Amino acid sequence: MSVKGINLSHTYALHSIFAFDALKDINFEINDGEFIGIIGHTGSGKSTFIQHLNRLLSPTAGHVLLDGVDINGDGIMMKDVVKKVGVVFQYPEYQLFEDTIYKDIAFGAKNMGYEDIEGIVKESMELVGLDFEYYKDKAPFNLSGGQKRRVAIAGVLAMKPSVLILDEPASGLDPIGREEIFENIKTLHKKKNLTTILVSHSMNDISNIADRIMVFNEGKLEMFDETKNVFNNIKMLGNIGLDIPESKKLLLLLKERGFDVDTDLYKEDDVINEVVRVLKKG
Amino acid sequence: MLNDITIGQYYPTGSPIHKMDPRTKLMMTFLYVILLFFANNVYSFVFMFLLLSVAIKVSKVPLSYILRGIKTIVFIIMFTVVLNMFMTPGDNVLCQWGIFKLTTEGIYNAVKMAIRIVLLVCGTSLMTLVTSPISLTDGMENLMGKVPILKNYAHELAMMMSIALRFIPTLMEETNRIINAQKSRGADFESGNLIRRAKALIPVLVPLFLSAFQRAEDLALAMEARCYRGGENRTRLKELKYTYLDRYGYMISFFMIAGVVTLNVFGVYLL
Ligand SMILES: Nc1ncnc2c1ncn2[C@@H]1O[C@H](COP(=O)(O)OP(=O)(O)OP(=O)(O)O)[C@@H](O)[C@H]1O
Ligand SMILES: [Mg+2]
Repeated sequence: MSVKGINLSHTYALHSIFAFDALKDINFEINDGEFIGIIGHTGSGKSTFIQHLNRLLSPTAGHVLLDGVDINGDGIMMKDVVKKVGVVFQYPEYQLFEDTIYKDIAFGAKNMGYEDIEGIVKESMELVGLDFEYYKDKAPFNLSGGQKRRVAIAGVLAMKPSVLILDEPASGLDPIGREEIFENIKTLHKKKNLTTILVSHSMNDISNIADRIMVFNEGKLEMFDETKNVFNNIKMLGNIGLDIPESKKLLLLLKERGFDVDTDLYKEDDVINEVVRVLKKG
Repeated sequence: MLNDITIGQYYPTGSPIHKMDPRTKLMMTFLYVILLFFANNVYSFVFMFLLLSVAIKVSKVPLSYILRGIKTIVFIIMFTVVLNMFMTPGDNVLCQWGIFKLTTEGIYNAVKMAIRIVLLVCGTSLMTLVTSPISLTDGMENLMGKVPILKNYAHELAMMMSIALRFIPTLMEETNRIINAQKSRGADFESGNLIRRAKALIPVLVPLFLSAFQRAEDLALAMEARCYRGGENRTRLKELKYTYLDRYGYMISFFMIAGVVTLNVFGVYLL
């Protein structure tokens, strides 16, 4: 499913002294099946932006289009929008409320009026790597942070969205938990061809996974381009307080020392291969 | 829905009222509320209304912010009005169903009560809008310390209040976040009858309570870890100090008393 924004702006507390322009005239187009990364400094408007994509916030100016249809248009129900665009918020474990994991994951699916709830819950749990039989009757509150988060993600997947948005899905997790979540997201994107939008403060995580990157700065969309081009724009990133992935830093340092490496690379695997190639050449 | 709660919401404009000592503002509000119940004729009510209007004007707080407080208590006002209309004993009966009598005294009472409640809510809203929560509790602690019975609990009460006020915005933010998350999962809070709507709140209340308890525990632990042991021997960063503004404040207070007493007494002749 394609997502498009036209002159999207948002002002919090419009018409009061607290008025604050959180998004300023944003234009973008995300194609079906793409994996988009969103980066930006704290307070740059990332969370505000994603809340527009499933109509939790309405633009104070401009439009959001899903497959060409304005989601704030007449006759479009909130339910139709959340069915298509699933959002996993920052610290999603705080949304769990049922006494069993099964019921909690089923909540969204039931609200959407789906038929085979058990089948859907089972599939969603498998997608995030939770064993159905083992976990279904457990209470969600006794799980570890990483497991809770996977339950929350499964709860969103159970609504069968065509666009999946994740706001900092790995924040506050240990390295193994992080890795597992990202592996889940990667396979999800591949298996279901979900259009995926991922907000993250970690350039390393984003660089390994995103096709294109949106760079937010003080409410403006500073840059929206292929991952390679964004990370080649080191000066702009530095100006707005962002960094480049460690892998790319390594290549730049090697280049500085006179090695002939391709500094356009940024994915961990590609960088490892490149370093091995250069080292072998001697 | 949540944005209607104005308690604990500070609206800074830097007006002279904002700069007054919180004790003065508390005393003036307290006095205003008492006088509202002494006021007994049209003239004294108009006088009370004018006082509040001037205060709002000087404070530069938009009227809409002050009126928001009323929106949440419309129900209570209506209830009081109806109760007063039909339950006031009186001779001048307009119509009657069983034990319910509509009398002119009843109507008169109901109108008076409604005006009182509206002015009371607006007046107290104004006070919280022009006083930051911290200075409000400082002022309360100081004033309670001067009342014999409350003296020993002044610090604890003030601390409880400042914690409560401190957490109103945090909990509202949290509530908003949880509502957003559940809306994204298709929860519907706006349609259906009362029972359905109450049920729809469960997915919000359960996580909210869980996190509120967690926060309370964390806070208690953090306070103990820093050796908090009540108010004894505590010094403060900002000492409360009266300025010339407060002198005016107390002068206005006397003017308020004098005004209401005079109008109450002479209102009879003016009519
Ligand atoms: N409900 C609100 N009312 C007023 N201002 C808000 C509100 N929510 C966010 N803001 C402001 O809008 C700006 C953007 O906030 P947003 O949450 O979108 O940032 P973010 O990029 O997601 O930051 P982070 O990386 O910390 O999550 C911030 O300056 C914030 O203070
Ligand atoms: Mg955010």
